[in-house]
Amino acid sequence: MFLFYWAILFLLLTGTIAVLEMNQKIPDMLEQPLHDMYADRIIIYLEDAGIMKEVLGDFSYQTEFCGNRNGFWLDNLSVFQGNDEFWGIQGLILLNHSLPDSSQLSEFNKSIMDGELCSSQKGGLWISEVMQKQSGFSCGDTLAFCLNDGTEVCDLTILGVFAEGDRAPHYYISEDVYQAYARFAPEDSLAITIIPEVFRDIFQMVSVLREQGLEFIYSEEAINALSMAFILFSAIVAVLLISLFSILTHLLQFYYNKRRRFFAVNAALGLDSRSTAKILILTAECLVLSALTAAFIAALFYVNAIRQYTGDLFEITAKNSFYSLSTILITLITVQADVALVLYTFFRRNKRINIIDVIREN
Amino acid sequence: MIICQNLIKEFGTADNIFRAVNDVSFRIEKGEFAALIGASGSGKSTLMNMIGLIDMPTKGSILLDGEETSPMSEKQRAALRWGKIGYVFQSFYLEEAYTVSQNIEMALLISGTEAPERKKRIDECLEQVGLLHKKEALASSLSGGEKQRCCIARAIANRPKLLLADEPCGNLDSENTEKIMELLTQLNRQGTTVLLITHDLEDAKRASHIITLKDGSVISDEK
Repeated sequence: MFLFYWAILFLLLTGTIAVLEMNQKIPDMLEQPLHDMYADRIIIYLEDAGIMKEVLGDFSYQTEFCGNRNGFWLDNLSVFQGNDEFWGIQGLILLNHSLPDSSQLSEFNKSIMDGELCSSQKGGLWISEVMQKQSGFSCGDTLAFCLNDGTEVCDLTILGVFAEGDRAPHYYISEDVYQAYARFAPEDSLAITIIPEVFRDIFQMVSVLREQGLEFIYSEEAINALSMAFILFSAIVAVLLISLFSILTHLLQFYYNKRRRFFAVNAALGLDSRSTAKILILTAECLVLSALTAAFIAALFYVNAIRQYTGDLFEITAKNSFYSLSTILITLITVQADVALVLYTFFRRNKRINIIDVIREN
Repeated sequence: MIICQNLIKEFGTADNIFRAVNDVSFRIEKGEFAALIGASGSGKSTLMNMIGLIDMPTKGSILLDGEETSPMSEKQRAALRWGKIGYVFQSFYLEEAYTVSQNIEMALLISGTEAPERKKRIDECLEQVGLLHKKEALASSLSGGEKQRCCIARAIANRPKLLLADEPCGNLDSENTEKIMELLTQLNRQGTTVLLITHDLEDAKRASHIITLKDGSVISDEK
């Protein structure tokens, strides 16, 4: 009976660890660029993407402009300062679809003159496609801005060209993700995988970009499935841990009942209740830790199998088979908390037995 | 060694109280071989459990070696049980899956005896009860008499001053009974105070002090 319960405990813990590990890894897997597998596209996972900018990539040529060099004066422009570190975007975003607001212009000038963006490693420009068409500039081009009537020059590189729509919500893509994209310079297509909350907005963006001739691939089913997977996995872990509490309680009670005579006789020989409690705690810990160790080993096989399966299903690369620290910590802490709760409940429920009770039972 | 004063032990609820021990008082001197005799249900086992600090009296006091035991904490009583008292049970209560030496070692582990001393003491106890040749035998393989001797060996492992024997021969034949009684007598001669619980008058006659119980009360106390 004792082995039966241990086996249940082992299976329970194996399942919990495997599910926990998968849950930790899914966001990482989604964020990883797939340049290894797919040379012409990457998958970008956008977390809590409340606002993004549409970005097109086209790296071709260089030019420069300044009041004293070849170029033109910027006019009829609106400025949106994208200096939000949270979104990972640093630089200026120039919208060229309306008359400039004087306050926006002065803000633009102020930013340039403060040298804030010029000194930033990540400082850059994002320009609209309308501006692109007018000026002929493209991604990768460096524009020189003249300050103080040309005595100071600030170079800013164009990081992206975005599509302008009907003032739909704008979206940002994080700088490092974009750089990953830019580094591999995909030529044909851009694939974006996102959370369902912003799906409709992205769909709109996708539609706009499609009109630009860029091919987009997306899967609503995959998006929904992954979202469900998160919820399902979390629910499974919670159920498993509650079951663990119940099983441990039964197991400890079973063990105590089986060993009643042992504890009673030893109480008569001089074993006090504190020592009895120590024996029970040690027994519970040995049982749980042995099952946990075996479960960690067994779960590795399950995790690899699941990764293989999800890799085939969602086209995600499998990583090396090491547990993430969060999985280990969550498992250890939660299991110990479970054991503590079980022991507390057990000692409250079971009064100290003594030889008299045993004698009367016999 | 043992002074019992106005001991009362009651069981049951407020509506239905049963008094197993009713105002019992007696005194057992150090080094005595005393016997507590009475029919079944006379309260002798209950009394013994209280003297052995396994159970607490409802009223009254027990002095063990001059120490009042009623106000003691559970830990103090446990310490006295392994330090000064040895218990021999009618049903032996040995761990059947353990060997003879392991059963004795349990008592020594509880008292915190170091490993080298434990080994030495186990051999001494087994030699005293005549079971040295059965040291590594499983308790389940022993005969009734051997089991009781093993139980006695466990009881004397910590060199107790008081040995409580609750119907030690209740499950034994006459031959083994004689052996066990002889062993208890021998231990008493070596200085251990022995309190024997029995319903058998023949066994009780070995004692120098006989206390007779009936319906929870002492009806005679003879030395």
